Amino acid sequence: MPEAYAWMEGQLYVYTGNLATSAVVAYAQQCNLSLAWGTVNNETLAGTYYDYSTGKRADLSVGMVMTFDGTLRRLADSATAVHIKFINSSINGTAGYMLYSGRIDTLPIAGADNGVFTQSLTYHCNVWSGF
Amino acid sequence: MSEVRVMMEGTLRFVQQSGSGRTMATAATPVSGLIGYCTDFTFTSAQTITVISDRGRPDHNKQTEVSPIDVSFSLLWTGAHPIPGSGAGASVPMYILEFRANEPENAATVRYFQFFGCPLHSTDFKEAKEGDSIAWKTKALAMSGVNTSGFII
Repeated sequence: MPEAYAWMEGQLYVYTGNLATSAVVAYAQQCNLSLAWGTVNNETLAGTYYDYSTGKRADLSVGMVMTFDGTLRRLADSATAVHIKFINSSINGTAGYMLYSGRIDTLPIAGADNGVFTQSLTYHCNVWSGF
Repeated sequence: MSEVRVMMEGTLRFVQQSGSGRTMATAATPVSGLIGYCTDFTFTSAQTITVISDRGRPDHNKQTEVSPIDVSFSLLWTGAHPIPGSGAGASVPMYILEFRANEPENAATVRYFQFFGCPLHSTDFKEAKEGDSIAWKTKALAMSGVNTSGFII
């Protein structure tokens, strides 16, 4: 059985819509990715059950320490889509998800006494692949 | 087999750090020197290892955090002490510290630990009949050693 992946072994990359430019999301502190499949479950008159797809949606949130690199804001302002790659790499292998053609929904910034500025990112898309 | 080292064989040197603090980076002609009358020096390097269990049985280890290195030292105070430096890439003034331990029984062999990115976290001053003393605590971002090469003059 392969080893578990650790947070230290992960990276999160954002890509421009044409996949020409990528950047690692620096100082990430936590993230959550939710992959959801919508279905309607119906029974026919003959007693057979069918699942009908109603769509797929991935929601991602990332918390990070803020820097004044404007890459994320420019990507959020962009009219084109944003792709995100989740990857974990260790000496025992590599695995991850590629999230395609989504949008950055929010980029909240927070600061307080005795702390550094933090920023979070929420993102959604409807197409993904795993590797 | 080498002899056990003792305090008389050790020295502690500093140089003003430049850059981000994670590597041996100094500005041109930084202030450096020997930290004199050192009465103690300690460091603690630690990492967090999480034990992954498989149905209750320990299965493997994962490194989940590398902690900053706690460094502390005390010296008898002469009225002057080194001032940390900052340069391009960092907003907090920092030192690089270098601990040396001579091995007189092994000719010119010297063992070194280098500590990078050391800001002052606390300064404790004490005046006493036996001599005024000052104790510093810092947290290094990174360290290197044991090495056989030193850098700080």
